[in-house]
Amino acid sequence: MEYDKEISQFLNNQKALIVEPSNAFYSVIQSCLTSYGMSAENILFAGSYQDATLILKEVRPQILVTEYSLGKFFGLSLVEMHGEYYDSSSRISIMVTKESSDNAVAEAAEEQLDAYIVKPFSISDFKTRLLEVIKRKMYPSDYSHKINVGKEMLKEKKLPEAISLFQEAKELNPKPSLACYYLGECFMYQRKHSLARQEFAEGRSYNPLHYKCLTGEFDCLMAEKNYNEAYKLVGVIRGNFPVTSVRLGKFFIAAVYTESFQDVSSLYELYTNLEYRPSELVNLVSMALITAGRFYLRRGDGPAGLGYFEMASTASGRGIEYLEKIVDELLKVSDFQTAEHFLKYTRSDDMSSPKYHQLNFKISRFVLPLNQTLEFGRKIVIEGNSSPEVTKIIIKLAVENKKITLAESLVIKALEKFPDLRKELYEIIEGETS
Amino acid sequence: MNFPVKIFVLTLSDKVRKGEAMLKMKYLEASKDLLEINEIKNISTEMNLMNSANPSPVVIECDSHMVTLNIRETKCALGQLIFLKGKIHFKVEPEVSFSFVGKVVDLLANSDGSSRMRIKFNQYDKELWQRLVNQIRSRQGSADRILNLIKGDDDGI
Repeated sequence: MEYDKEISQFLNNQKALIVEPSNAFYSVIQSCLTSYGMSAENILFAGSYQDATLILKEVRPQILVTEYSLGKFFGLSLVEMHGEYYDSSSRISIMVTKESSDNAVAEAAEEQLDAYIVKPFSISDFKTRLLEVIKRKMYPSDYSHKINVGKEMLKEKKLPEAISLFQEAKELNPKPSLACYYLGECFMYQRKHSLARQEFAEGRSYNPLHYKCLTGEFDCLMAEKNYNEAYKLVGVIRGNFPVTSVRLGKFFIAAVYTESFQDVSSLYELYTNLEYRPSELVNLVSMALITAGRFYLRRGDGPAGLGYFEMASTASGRGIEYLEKIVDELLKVSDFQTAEHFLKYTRSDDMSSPKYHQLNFKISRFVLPLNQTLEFGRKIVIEGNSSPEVTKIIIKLAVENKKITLAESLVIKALEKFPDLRKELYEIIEGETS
Repeated sequence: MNFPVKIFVLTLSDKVRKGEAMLKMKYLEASKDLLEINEIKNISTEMNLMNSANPSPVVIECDSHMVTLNIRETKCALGQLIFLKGKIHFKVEPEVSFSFVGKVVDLLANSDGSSRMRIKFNQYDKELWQRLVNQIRSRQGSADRILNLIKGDDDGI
């Protein structure tokens, strides 16, 4: 009974936020919390991501229970935000979701989640798990306590204090892989990469597949620009753990640096399996796929190159910036027809953008008769849709074809938008007339 | 004059369509419910508890011999008999249809007007239901395993 009182006291010293689009599950989770003595007044509810972020910012509850998928948003971002307000020893983050894929769980685990509960769940099991988490927060082992305090020091960049705490922690556990990992992290901050790798290796000596030590070693080798050695660890990590979005981004980087383009398509498959794709990852994957496409194209393997460009186009959501890179590569090898094919992927909302007109012109100049090309170019400049690069191409084309009056009028118009190009543009005209 | 825009009419290639559809399908597959309920009837009162105004119930809990549902329709009472019809989507095998009968053993009114109802099965395919319960437990077990592996806490934290 005394124990229950302590739990209830612990819970009532904080606030809880339940982020749950389903009222039914909200009421179940709420009743689990109140069954441990938490007052209903201390339990807040958010049915949407937007409401949850507001409550997190304003109320800063220490307990967060969230769904994985919140409309267009993800509960993971809320867990991340929660982690910014509280360290892992003073907060409780639980995900309750119907999303049960390995990647989703791994993604959540990287955010230092306390429990991942899959719907539908057993109410008694939920309560047992909640109690376990609360007990761990209330009564951490000496080892965990040292690590938690050390992590706080590390977060505040108090590295000597953190190092000393992690070293003390190592003495408290016969297999202190986690302490080794955090020591390695400290040395990474100090750019003592060799010491960091020693710690990660020691951590792996207790547990050869310790995820954090493995990924720590990988990050360390990447920081040392030892891409080949780092890439060797990609297989070990992929073979034993579900890949998370952060990790996958790094794998793409390593694959590109080591020119392991033969593996890029299998990495892309992992990408398609992810439920959570942050925009940084989307950009990184799209760029890596374009780089792979360029690599194969330059090696003369057109079909492989185009395959990667197709993937890049899909991965980027047919973003015009990425289509531009693809089109530019294709124009370099004079494959106008395929360039045209990729331009057709432009999303309807991008079709009125200057970038689209520029790309269209870049291709058209190779496939249209001269008079049509010049007229198209003139229209782009007059309508203000040109870029410095395209402006120079158009003026050069006019000059080369003795359309000096047209070139001069276009220079005057272009200078309104790009005054810095004055010297360069007049030189193009003077070069021809002299 | 018509400009080259006419050459570049927007048409998505099949490849891109396929790629985008695949991304969407994978997401839908991952988030598909294991238990799909298509019909709930209160046998005692002969009333349908599911219709266009009262869509699918939320499955809260699946345990041995029983299921807990949240339903919009509240026209039932403790002890009444309920008929449930639906499908179970197992991970690797084809979906299996079921028709079970059970008794309301617990009923709780929620603040939004819906009810949380626990039904203990009387007539049901025990083996089929246990397979579903095992699959749910196995999903949770797998989530626990991955969470612990990635967190890498040495004393089981």
